Amino acid sequence: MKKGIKWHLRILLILLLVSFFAPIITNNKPIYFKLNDIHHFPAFKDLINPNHTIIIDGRVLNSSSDWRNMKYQSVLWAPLRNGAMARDPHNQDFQSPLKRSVYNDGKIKEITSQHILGTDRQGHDVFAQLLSGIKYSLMIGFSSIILAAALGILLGAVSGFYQNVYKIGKGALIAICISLLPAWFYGFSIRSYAIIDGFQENAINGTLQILFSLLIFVGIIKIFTWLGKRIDKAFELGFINFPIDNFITGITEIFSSVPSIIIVVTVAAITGGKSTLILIILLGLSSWPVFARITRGEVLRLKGMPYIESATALGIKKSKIITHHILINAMPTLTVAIAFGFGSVLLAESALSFLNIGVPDHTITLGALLRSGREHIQAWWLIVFPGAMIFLLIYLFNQIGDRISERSNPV
Amino acid sequence: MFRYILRRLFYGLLVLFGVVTIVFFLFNFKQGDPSLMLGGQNANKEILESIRHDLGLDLPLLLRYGLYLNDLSPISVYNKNFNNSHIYLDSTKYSYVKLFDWSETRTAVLKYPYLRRSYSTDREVSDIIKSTLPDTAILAIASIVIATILGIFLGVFAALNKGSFLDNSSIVFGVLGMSAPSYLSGIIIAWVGGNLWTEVTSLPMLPFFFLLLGLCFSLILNFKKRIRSEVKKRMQWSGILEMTVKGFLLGMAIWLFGIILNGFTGMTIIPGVSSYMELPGTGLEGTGVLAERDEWTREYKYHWDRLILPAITLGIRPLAIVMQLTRSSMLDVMSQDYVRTAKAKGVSSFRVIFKHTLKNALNPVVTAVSGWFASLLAGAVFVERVFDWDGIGNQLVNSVLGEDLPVAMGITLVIAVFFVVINILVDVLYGFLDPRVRIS
Amino acid sequence: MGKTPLLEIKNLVTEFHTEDEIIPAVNNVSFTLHRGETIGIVGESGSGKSVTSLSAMGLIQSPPGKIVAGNIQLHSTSGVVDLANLPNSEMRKYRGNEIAMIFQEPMTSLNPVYTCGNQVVEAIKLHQKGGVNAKEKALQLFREVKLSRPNEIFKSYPHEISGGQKQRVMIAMAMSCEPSILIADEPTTALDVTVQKEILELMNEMQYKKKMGILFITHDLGVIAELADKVIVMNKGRIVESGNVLDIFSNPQHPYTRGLLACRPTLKRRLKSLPTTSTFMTQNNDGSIVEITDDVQSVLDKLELSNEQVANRIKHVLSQRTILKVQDLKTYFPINNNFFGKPKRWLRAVDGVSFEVFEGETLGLVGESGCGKTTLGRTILRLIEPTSGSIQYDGIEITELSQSELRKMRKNIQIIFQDPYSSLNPRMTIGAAIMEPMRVHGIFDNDVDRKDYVIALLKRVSMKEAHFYRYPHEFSGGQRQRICIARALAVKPRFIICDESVSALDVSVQAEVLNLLNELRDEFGLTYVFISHDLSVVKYMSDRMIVMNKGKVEEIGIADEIYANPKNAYTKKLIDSIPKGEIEDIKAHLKRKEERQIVI
Repeated sequence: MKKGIKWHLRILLILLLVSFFAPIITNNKPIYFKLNDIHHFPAFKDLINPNHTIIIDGRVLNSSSDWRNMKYQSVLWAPLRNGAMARDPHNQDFQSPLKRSVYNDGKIKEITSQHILGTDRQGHDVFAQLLSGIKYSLMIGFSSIILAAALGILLGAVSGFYQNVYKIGKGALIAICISLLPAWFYGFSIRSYAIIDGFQENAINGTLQILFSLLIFVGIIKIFTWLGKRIDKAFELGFINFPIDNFITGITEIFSSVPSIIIVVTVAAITGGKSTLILIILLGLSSWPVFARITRGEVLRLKGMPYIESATALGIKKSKIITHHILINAMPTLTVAIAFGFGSVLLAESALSFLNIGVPDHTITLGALLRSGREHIQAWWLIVFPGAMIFLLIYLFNQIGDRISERSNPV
Repeated sequence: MFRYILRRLFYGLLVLFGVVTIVFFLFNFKQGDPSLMLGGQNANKEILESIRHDLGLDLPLLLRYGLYLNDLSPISVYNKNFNNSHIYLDSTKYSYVKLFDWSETRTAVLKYPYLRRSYSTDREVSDIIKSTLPDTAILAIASIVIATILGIFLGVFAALNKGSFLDNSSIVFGVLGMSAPSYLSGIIIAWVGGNLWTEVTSLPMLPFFFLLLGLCFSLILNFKKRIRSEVKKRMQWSGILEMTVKGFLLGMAIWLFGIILNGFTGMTIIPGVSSYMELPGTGLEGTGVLAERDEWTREYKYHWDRLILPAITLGIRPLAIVMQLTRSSMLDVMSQDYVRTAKAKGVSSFRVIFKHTLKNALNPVVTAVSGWFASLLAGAVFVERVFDWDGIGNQLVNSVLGEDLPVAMGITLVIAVFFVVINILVDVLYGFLDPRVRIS
Repeated sequence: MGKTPLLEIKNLVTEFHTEDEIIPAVNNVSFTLHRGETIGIVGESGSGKSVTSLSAMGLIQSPPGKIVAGNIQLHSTSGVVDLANLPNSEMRKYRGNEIAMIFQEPMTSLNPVYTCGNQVVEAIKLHQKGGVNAKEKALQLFREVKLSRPNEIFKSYPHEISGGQKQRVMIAMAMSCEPSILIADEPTTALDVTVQKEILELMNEMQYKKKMGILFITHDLGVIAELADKVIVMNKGRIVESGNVLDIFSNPQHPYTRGLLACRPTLKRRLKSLPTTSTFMTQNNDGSIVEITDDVQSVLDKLELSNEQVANRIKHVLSQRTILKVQDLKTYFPINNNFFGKPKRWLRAVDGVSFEVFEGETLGLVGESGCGKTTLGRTILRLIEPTSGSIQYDGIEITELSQSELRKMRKNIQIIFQDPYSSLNPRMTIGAAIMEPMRVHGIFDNDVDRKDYVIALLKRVSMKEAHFYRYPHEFSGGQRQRICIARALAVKPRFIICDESVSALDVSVQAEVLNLLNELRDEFGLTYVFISHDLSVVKYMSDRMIVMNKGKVEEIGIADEIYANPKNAYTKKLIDSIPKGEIEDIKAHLKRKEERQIVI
């Protein structure tokens, strides 16, 4: 009985698209307007930066400005006219979706301005917030799972493939040990201010700085290793065995002994500054042991397969055997792990924002919506819709994982 | 076997050491400044400075790490004379047994691991943990028991009736249980069980619990009957309904009896029969403390009925996982050769299932259950928050939000110790369940 | 002795219903088993022989399996019952009690979490009502099946005892309620020949003691000859021929039977090539069979090499230069590791082996499981690192090559593995799999030439050009083994190690692959080291052979001479244990049986 994942992927794609294009679907800003013979596309700009401002006639316009009552030469509104960041002062204090939204004079609003999923205490539109919450969740999920998977798969593959027989020249080993100090010094120590400055500017700049530091770090180690190898060859120092498998599995076990959610909760709180980037790194760093363990198991299993042995017998390089023969065959299992991992990362993210830990203030997330609902339980729409959406997202990823695993091992 | 356990213990110790290291550096890589919090608003610069010095925050990171290890280790070295030192032997800190003098000024002592003191309340962290851990443990044990027993039964049931309506609904339940975040299901359960149930029926928790109990029993009995008779019968819905109603009536009777009895005698003879249910997050007032101290009599009063809803909430996810695992592992084992051998011997189906299949199928379930028990302590964070349960998880969140570093660190370490210990126990348990493991 | 029928199967049809199609696994099968009789059911994989026996036990997995038509009548002490239409709860009374079964895989057929004694006691308690000391009886049974140390075995878990011992426990369990019928589904296939011989003797003995009817299912005609009275040959779910064992072996009627009989490598003669089923028949598209030749003996006579030819070949081989020289090779595996990965105890898989291989010869390597033959093959290629010793290929010391030099060296020495199902990467097309090593070793300058060469190779091993773009799972075992051969040949090696390369194949397919290997040897000027547990196959293939036991060489020499005149006690025992399936053996076994019956 094989079940398809076509529909799950389709729903996921739709959610992705809808949440990405949310500022065009529902926004209090117009998609297009013309004023003073200048063309403006504020809703499109929201796609990139929702906090952007437009200056017209010396007035600074942002999300909370009164766009509705401005005079335009020509204007095109979004299909639904409520923004995620905008407060509706006439419909504050938990307006039910079943009640028609009104103006301050009590007149009923047109249907496109209806708060279709109600509002919260400040009068934010729940539907618009829901969409941007999905976007935030998916973004966090994708980035941290990529980080976790990359780290976990790399470590797992190395420990599974080389096991405990990783031979390294004495000279090379000593050189690597020695190199760590200058590499750390030149890579991170003296560049720490550059990195911090980079992050203060913006996230991309900071990431670039970190990458540059990493490059220096790896480069210095590489140079020392190369030197060490030369020394090995020249003096025939011989090899020692590095138990790389015991080493990596030990680290994996240590990391999985501290529940990831607790690491994230505590560290996110202690670092104080609530930043999305730190959240991503934390979520990624705390979920890699799963990938390492799974990859190691798969590599060990596949390594014993005769086709790996015959690839070796045919004289194919080790790196190519790992990528072309082992990892390709481990792909189904890893995809399953990634799908489930995605589910648990989403869970962690929404839980954190539910507790109001780690997630930057004023970021619209599903968990934050739920939190405001818990404080005022009569506003059922604040629980039901975000709750259902969190549930749906996790459900989709779990199902995708489940079904891929069912497909790859037919019983 | 003994050597194996010994090796495992040694390995566990190494892992613990690694955990302490990681936790310490994670908590300390960014220097927080608790002196403001401790000194209060009016503290001047010198006071702040002296607080920082007392806490050792002016020392380099590695030295602080060494001091922390010294505090944690059961055998540690202290300075007995120089009271400006951070390792000054201070009898107010903790009780200890003096072992021997290291040198003229230093002495080695034997003591319990010292987790330092809370910044905000100045209580010892171990005291805080001691007072909150039992509540969490009770909660976790209750939910894991519910999850294991029900999960194994439902899983076996689903595997035996593959493709039936109940199998499919158990799969659906498994998926729902896996996907629902515990704080979400907590809110819903709190609302339904606490608010709606009480508002609509004006009845306490006990009958609700018995209603659920009746439902479970009827399912289990029904399932036993179906295996014994070996004829594919339809599910007896009327029987299940009857049992559920009976369970409800029994609960009602016990409650009424308890109320009358307690009323007449003026004592708490039957626990858990308070006449109303209070729950936070449901618009109703109340606390989630299991044992409440009576201000007048200074006696602890246990509210067992408060355990029901959080335990159910916490148990949903492990229940779903145990059920799914049991199901798939049963299906796997049922296609094994030795099950065929047992059938060829003429063993009855009931025996084939419970003697030959289940014992083999339980291995992955044991791992999952034990793994979950440890993470339940972690997962309890959210459930405790929703139900305001006064456990270790709630304490952790509070201390994290209040930037109370020693408490958060201590709780994290305690949970990690649980993880490691349980992992060792599981490995040993494995040896008993599966003779093949014993050799290696 | 009068013939009392025990089990009558009439027009049995068993089908497997999958989502797409209905597969008739057993199609209209009828036969009768009498008391004291042994019926052998022979067939290749997929012939429906196991499904027949499982149907009789009511152990067909349902769904997808289902008995569609026919009767299975059991003549028990309480009357005749039709097992085909019995509900499960009723069926249980007869299972174990009237019909008992032994399975192929002793490794997985015993429940790993209970002791052997526990499982036998369970079987005894199930069918015996009171008054029986089950433990005493189990121990008695263990003694009867000649288990040494029955008390210890009683307390052992299945993983603690050997395969042969497990199979004895299985037999004891089957015997526990003194059934009138014993169904044995390939009970000796997974065992070594020497153990197989003991188990077969035990089964013969048990039959005389208990007067059972035995249904013996196997793919091996040699085994059948050792113990059956009647033989049923099955193919594709149907019975193609049935009759007295002597008649079937001396005068087979159906061309398929003839093919099966002829394509087994015989020990007595040296043949140029093996006949296959296609020598005797071809099958039209509609499934009808066209007979080609009718006489087994004349076919074999035609293929036999004369003594002179054999002697010339040996002389020629011995005069060639040495291509591979192995000296005092040792490969040890660590059994226990301490925490830092340092081994504490060693398993001596290969323990001081020395031999030479001459260019152009086939050197056979035979031994039972665990004797180190596979490890030896892999060590020569340095797929496993040797502990000490030297391996010289063409004057180059292989043990001292660096990794990159070794990779270049791999072009010359190739290996063909046992399991054709897992020695091809499931995610690579056939063409890509064969072309990958060619690219690595720089054979031909561009992919167009390479592709042409691969297609030519595929055609040479009787595959089609269209198979270039297919994936491995689309092929049968024999086809995959051909693909593996083509892949090994693609890098133009001079030396090939065949590691149990035909052991997983059916006999008729095995004959085709063996012929192909022989043809390729002459065509490409290859040298083989042919590793197998099957002495008859090794003897057929090789010029010289090595007998290995417990990591050491027992005997080395010209294959024919070793067979005709074994000097070593172990070699003798090995040769004696092979079920040869010759007419004389059948006569001897039938005579033995008659004698015993007179005694009784």
